[in-house]
Amino acid sequence: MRVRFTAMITCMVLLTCLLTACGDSSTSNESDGVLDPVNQASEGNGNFNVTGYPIVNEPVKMRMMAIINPAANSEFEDNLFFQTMEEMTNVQWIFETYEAAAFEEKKNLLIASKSYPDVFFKAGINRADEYNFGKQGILLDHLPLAEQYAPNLMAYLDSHPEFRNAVVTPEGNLYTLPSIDKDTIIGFNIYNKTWAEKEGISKAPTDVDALEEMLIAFRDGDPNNNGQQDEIPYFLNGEWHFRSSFLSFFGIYPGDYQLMVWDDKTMYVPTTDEYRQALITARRWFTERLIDNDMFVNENMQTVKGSEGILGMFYDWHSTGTVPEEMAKDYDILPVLKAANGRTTWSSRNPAASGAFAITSACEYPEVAMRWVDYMYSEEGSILADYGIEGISYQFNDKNEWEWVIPEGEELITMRAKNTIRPGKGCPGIVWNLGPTTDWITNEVNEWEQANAYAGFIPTPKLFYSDEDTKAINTINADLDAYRKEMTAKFITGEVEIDAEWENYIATSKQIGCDKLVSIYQKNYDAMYK
Amino acid sequence: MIKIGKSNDISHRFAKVIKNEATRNYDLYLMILPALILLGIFAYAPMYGVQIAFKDFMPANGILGSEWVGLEHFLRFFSSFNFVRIMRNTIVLSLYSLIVNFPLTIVFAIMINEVRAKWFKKTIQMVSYAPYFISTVVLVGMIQVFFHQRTGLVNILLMKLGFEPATYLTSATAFPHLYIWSGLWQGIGYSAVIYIAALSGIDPQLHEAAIIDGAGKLHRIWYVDLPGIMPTATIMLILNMGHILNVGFEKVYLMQNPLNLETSQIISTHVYEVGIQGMEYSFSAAIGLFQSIANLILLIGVNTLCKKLSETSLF
Amino acid sequence: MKIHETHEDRIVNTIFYILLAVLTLIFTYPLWFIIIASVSSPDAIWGGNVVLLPSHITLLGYKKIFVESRIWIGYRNSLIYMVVGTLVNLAVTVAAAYPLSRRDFKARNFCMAYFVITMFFSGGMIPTYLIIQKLGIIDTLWVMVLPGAVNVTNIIITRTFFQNTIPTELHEAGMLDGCTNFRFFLRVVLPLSSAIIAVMTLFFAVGHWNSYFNALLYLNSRDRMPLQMFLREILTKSQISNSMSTADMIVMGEQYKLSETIKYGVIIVACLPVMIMFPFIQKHFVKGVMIGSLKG
Repeated sequence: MRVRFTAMITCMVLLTCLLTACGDSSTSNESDGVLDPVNQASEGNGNFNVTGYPIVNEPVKMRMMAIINPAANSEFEDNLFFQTMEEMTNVQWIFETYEAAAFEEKKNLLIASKSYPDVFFKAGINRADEYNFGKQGILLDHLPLAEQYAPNLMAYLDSHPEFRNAVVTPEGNLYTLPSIDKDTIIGFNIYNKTWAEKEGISKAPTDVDALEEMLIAFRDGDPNNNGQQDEIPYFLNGEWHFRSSFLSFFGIYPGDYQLMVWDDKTMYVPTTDEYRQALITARRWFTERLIDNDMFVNENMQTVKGSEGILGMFYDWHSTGTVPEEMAKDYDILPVLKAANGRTTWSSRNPAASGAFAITSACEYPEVAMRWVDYMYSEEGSILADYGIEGISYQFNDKNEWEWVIPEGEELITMRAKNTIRPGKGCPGIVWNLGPTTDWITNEVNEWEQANAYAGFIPTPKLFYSDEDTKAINTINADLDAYRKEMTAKFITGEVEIDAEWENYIATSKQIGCDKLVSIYQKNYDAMYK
Repeated sequence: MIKIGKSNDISHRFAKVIKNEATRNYDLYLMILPALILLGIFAYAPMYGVQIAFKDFMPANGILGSEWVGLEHFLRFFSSFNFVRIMRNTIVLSLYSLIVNFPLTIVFAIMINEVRAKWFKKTIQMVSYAPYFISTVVLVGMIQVFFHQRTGLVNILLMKLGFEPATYLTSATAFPHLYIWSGLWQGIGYSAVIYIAALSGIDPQLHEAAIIDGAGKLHRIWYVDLPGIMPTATIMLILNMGHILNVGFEKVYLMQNPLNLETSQIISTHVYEVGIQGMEYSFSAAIGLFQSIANLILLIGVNTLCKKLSETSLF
Repeated sequence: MKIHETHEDRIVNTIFYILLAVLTLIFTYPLWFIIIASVSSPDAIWGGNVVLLPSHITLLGYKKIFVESRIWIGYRNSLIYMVVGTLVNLAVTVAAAYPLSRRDFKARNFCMAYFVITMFFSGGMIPTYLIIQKLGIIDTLWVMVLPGAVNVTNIIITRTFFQNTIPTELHEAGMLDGCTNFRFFLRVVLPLSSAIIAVMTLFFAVGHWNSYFNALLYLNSRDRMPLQMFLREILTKSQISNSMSTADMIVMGEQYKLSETIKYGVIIVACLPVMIMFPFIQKHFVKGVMIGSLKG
């Protein structure tokens, strides 16, 4: 009997469709129903101490999943922070650690197969997942637990409404704990002060025109004295720097989804008139070689060019991020310029970022976990997480400046990775400033942060969105972002004429959905803040 | 007397055929059994998950508990702003890749086969095989170094020869070429292995006979070598059609920059962008299913074509 | 036997040799680049200063690699997975391909359909994970070997090879001599198939060596991870996001510098085993394997 092959395939496909009847039974390691965290504890298992340390008298083991610091050549078990915490609290962790991309996949898989861990730590859980998993009961509502067992954390949430608003949902639930960093600046504009002075500019430019003059002086004056006009007056590392560094000159800064909220009103930055002005100026500076013409080519050139001593101005967290230390002293920050529209905007982030820590419904000892993590919101806990132990990983000198203790043959980055836990993905707790240090770089960064006039500006407060809104945002944003990036690059390099195409650009952006994006954001913003 | 017995009944005849076959070739069945069982466990048992493409999958609800949304994800994909561009780019990259890789790999294998000096043969095989192991990150890094418009080797050579340097890395027109030819460079040695093995299976007597008949090298290649590897080549071609639309994500994503998006936006990078804020499991499953079905249709098409034109086909 | 080279032959030969020589150059140069880049400083590389010779020579990259205990753990694990996995793969694949190559195998079409469908339709990560979880093989050697044991593409390629190199006359002769299928397979087919077995060994071994995703999904313990997992960690090039604090930025910067320094050296270290394997495989691509069989 010859059976035709295609008929065979059809039969099998139908058969496999019937297989959909097969069960999706899963092994569950969660208890039935959502744990009632408060009552759980009050059932008093004698082991748990509501205050003081250790947290439990007999050791308790829980499963933790975390994102590692890729620079660390040691595992969490060997990390000084965890060892110290275990001694103090009697809480033992079983670690499952991955690097960031792998973690994302694994996390989704574990949740879908209902075998997720007790606790997520340094997990960078994104807002959409956080909201969904929380609503579905996978992540606990931490507020009742925190109110009972986390005095340090509550102190911050109660005294700083902006922290609270960044992490609590519109319904008043707290599904993940925040990473709090009062320093909100992402990067600074850094210019070569020595060169400026050489060209006769004694005061830092305060507006765009003065800046342009300075850049022209850099380009023409050969301030690095090597007989060649090889200076790059203004180095921008790709489209991201255009957004972070350049736009502030015009009083706009795009936050989430390229939006910005000013006076409670949301706008889509790439179609504003300020953006057009910025593009026109950028285009002009590009043709006049005031901006590096390789800007969109490849994003690995910042340190390369920095080390060649040809950069007049760039964007970074500190000058030493770009140029070698010997050259760093020539650079200083450029204070925020006066924008034509009178606004002060800068590349900043929210002081509180959610997703750093979460207790799941699989956890049998949520109150223990909550007390454990609360330590990280205290001064001692923060210092332990960030600096380690005095005398072991850091110490104070007689001038009361702190410095790292780096054993022979090791480097700062690996020593820190082994003895502290903060570096890497957002860590629960708060970033503590230990004061002046022997390291002039850290001191200078602190100084720059204090001196800036940008503090307090948050471009777009973080919000939580419904499923429907999330999907709409995802769809619009994927296309809109690609379009914006492409058009911005073409406008700046001159491949497309700004004046001729601007109307088209706005119309297309609207067609893709920028207005809809704005209205979704505004709607959720009003629900949260008005 | 007419014997109306069991042996005349059709169903019993069928049963007898089965029994004959089973006893005669029982060991063949045993040999193929492990593969059938393994696939049954790891491929068929999970297959109910295909539904995910038609549902709004929420991890906490599981697959069965998530609600049906029918073709919503597909429609969402088809109506995305850049749909035409994305499909066009994906198809261009896959077809271009096929047209370049398939014949050139065969030519390369044949050339290597003709080399008589053993040391040269081994060397070039090794050297062409090595690039396969270079990770994508490093490969793209190398492309960016070599093709940089001012410091890259390629442009420096061009300038020395008197030509103008070109902007390869930021040009949308250059992107497909960079992608495909670097892919050829990376994969040709490894892919040629199967053809070299097939060529080694060609009876040398055929070659000897051809030489005696006075056939030159090119003749011999055309009339002995090529037919000898044609079955392998046909099968490889059909199998390649089986994942033609699955242009890989990582390399394209690394090579993408704002100025080449016109040709570098493909299905997999689009799915990634949509899903980057989280929660889009069903969407990616739907797109994957769409690609699979398209691939399957193409495969059946090419298979039918091959069946008509030659003796070899997949099925 | 003396082979008269025609004039045409000489031209063809010359063209071939020139082409191959050029190709050898095209292949070798970037490989040479990787070697010299592994001892050069990243800035020099991006600056275009590394062309024929290393620039700003530094052995720092290799030093860091050797200190990375992750790499050695990964190496050990990958070797184990590769050896065990390849053996299982070979056994399953070859055993399945032979019956498919026999035209008198009545279940042929059914089996082909059964196999081919799995190339296109798959339940996806989550249901597969659930099945594997139920089998209890999460985080074991078997999870790296069994789920991938059947590779339909390779079965089809092997089947094609059998169909084209084992003539039916051979099989009939064997049957006349009273040989069972299995004995025929072992005594006749396998010895004649050294070329395809060599190729499949290569494909499977390389597949295991490069594998990353299965380990990511199904392994939990860090000390069972294969090399590729650790490589990805080390070479990670994470995107800068707006929620990173200064501490994060510093770490990212350092991490980026580290990964740039070692990325070329890591490639060399990571692909050594598969490069070493190749000459052994090459031995089997020898002409004239079939000579004896037709006459026998």
